Amino acid sequence: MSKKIETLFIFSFLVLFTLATLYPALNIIGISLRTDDAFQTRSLALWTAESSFRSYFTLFLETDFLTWMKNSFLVSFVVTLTGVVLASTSGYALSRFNFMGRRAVLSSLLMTQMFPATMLLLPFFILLAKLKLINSYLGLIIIYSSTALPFCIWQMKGYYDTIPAALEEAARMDGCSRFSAFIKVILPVSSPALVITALFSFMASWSEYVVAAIVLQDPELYTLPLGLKSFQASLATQWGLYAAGAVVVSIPVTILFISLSRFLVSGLTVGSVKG
Amino acid sequence: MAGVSLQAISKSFGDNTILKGIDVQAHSGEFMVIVGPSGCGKSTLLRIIAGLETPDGGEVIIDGERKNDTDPSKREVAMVFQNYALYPTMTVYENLAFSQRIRKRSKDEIDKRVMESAEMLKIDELLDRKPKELSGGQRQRVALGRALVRKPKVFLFDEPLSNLDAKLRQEMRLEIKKLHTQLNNTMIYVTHDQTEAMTMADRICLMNNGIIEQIGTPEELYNKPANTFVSTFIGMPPINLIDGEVCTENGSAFFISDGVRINLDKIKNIELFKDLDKHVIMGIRPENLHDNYFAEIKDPENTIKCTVDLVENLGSVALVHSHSGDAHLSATLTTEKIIHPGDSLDLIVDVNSLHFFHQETKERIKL
Ligand SMILES: Nc1ncnc2c1ncn2[C@@H]1O[C@H](COP(=O)(O)OP(=O)(O)OP(=O)(O)O)[C@@H](O)[C@H]1O
Ligand SMILES: [Mg+2]
Repeated sequence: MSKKIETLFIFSFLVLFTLATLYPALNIIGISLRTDDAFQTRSLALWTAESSFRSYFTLFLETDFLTWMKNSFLVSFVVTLTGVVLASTSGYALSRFNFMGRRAVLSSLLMTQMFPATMLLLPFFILLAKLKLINSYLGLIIIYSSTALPFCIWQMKGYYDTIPAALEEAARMDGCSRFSAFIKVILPVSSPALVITALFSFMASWSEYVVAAIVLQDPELYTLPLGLKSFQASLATQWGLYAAGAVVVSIPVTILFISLSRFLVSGLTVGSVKG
Repeated sequence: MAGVSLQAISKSFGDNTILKGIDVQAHSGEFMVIVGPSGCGKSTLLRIIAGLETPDGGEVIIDGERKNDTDPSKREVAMVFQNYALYPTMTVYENLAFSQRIRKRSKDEIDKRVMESAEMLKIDELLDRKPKELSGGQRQRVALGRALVRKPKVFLFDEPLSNLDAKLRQEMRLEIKKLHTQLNNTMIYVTHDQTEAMTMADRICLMNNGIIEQIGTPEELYNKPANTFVSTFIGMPPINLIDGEVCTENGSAFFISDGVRINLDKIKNIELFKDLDKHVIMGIRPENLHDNYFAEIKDPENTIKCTVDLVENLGSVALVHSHSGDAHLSATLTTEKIIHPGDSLDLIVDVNSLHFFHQETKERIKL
C-alpha cells in the first residue's frame, strides 16, 4: 500500500515538472504558428483557425536568418573542436603526469569558475580591442573557448582519473607510444566524457548572447541569438517571427542531445579491470 | 630464447627506498617466480624489467642487450597485469589483435596468430564479446592470450591469479605451467603466494623489504632456507621456530629450551656446533613432527611432551597446535586418531630434518 502511495507521489512530482518544462516550449510553438502576433494569449491550442507556417516562410525567405545560422554553426563548431582537442589533451596531462605547477594549474582553473562571465565583459572587451579582434569570429571563439575550457578540462581530468593506468601500460607493452596509447586506447574509453565536453562547448557558444553582443557589431556577422534579438529592435516586435526563430534555434540542440544521449552512459570502463 | 639479467637495481620513490641493489638472473627458458610479502617491491621490479618504471641505478639486460633506455614498446616483453587491463571498448578479438595491428601485420597473419592463441587458451568461442561480458576467469585467459599473440621474448606476470577464486586459481596455475612447457619461453612471475611459487617455479627469487633473501629451486628453499625469514615464508603450514641453546653433556650434544630437549647426536656435522655461539633458533616443519602413538621405533630422547591447544581439521590431515613449556609447536598429523584440545601429545622429532639458525643474524647454520 505504502509502495503505491510512494509511486503516486513520485509520479505526480514528475508530471508537475514535466508540465512546467513543456508549457513554455509548447507556448512558443503555438505562437510561432499564429499569424496574429497574439503572444499574450492564454489559449493552449497549438493549431487554431488562423494558424499557418507563414512566420517560418518569412523567417527563412525574408530575413538574414540563414546567414546567422551559418555564422552560429561556424562559431560553435570551431569552439567545440577547440574545446574537445584542448580539454582532452590537457585533462590527460593533468591526470597522468606529475609536473611542476600541476596543482597551481588545477586550482587556478577552478578559480576562473568563480567569476560570472558578465563580470569579465569589460576586460574581455579591452583585451579584444587591443588585439584588434572586435567584430571578428576569432575574438568570439577565443572568449567562448576560454570560458568553457576550465570546466571541460576538470571534467576530462576527473574522468581520466577513474581509468586505471594499467590500461595505457598494457597498450605501451603492446607496442604503442605514449601518444598512440592515448589516442587508441584512452580516448575511445573516454567517449562519455568527450561527449559531455563537446556538448558543453557547443551549448556555451550556440545560445550565448551577452558576449556576442559586445564583440560583433556588423549585422552580417551576427550569430543566432543576436539576430533573434534584432527582431525585437524594430517598433513593433514580430512575435510570430521571433517565436519561429526560437523554435528553429532549439532544433539542433535537441537533435544533438537526443543523438548523443546513448554515449552518455558511463561505466564504459567496467570490465577492463576487476569488477 | 632470451634470458633476463638484473644487476644492482635500485629504486626509490621520494624518501622510500623500495629496491636496494637487486641482482638476479632468469635464464633463457626458465620459469622464475619472484615471491615476497606485500609491499616488498616485487611489482616495482617487474615494472622495471617491462620499462614502465626507470631504475635509479643498475642494469636491465634482456637477451644480452642493455635495455635501460629502451621504451617499453620496443622491449619485446609481454606483461599480464593483475587487474587484466583489457581494452574495454574492444572485443576479445580486437584485444588480441591490437599489438599486431600496431605492428602493421597483414590481416591473414593477424588472424592466424589470434586464432592460434585463442584455441590454445580455449577462448575461441568468446572472440566477439566485450570484456565486460566475460567472467573473471575468462578475462584472465584473454589477458594471457593478449600476451601470447605477441610471441615475445619474455613473459612477465604480475599476480595474474590473485583475483580468481581458489579453484580457478589452481586450474590457471596448471594452465600457465602447461603453457610454459609448450612455449619454453622465459617467464617471470610475481606472486605473494608461496604455494604458487612452490608449484610453478623452476627457480624462486624470494624478496623482502627491497632485498633478495634467497634464490634457488623450490627444493633448495624448502630444504635449505638461507635464514629464518625464508624458512617461515616457504612451507605451508609455516615452520615452528624455537629459541634455545646448544650444549654438550657427557660427549652428547643437546638442543635445550624451555619445554624442549633434543639429542643432536644423529646430526653428522655435530662438530660445527662447538665453535658457535650457543644461542640458536631451531626450526621444525609441522610435517616433520610425528605422533609417538603411531611410531614404530620409539625415540624417547627426541620426544616432546606437549599439550594440545587447538586442532584444525584439513580433511586428510589435521593441523594440531600444541605447546610444551614456552615452545609452540604445530604438527600435521593423521586424522586416524582423534585429538582434542587439552589432550597430551608426544611428538617425535625427525632430527635430520631440523634447521638451525644463528639467533642474532637469523642466518642458516650449515650442517
Ligand atoms: N608510483 C609510486 N609512488 C610511490 N610509491 C610507490 C609507487 N609504486 C610503488 N610504491 C611503493 O613501493 C613499495 C613497493 O611496491 P610494489 O608495488 O613493488 O610492492 P609489491 O611487492 O608488488 O606488493 P604487492 O604484493 O602488494 O603487490 C610500496 O610500499 C609502495 O607503496
Ligand atoms: Mg604488486
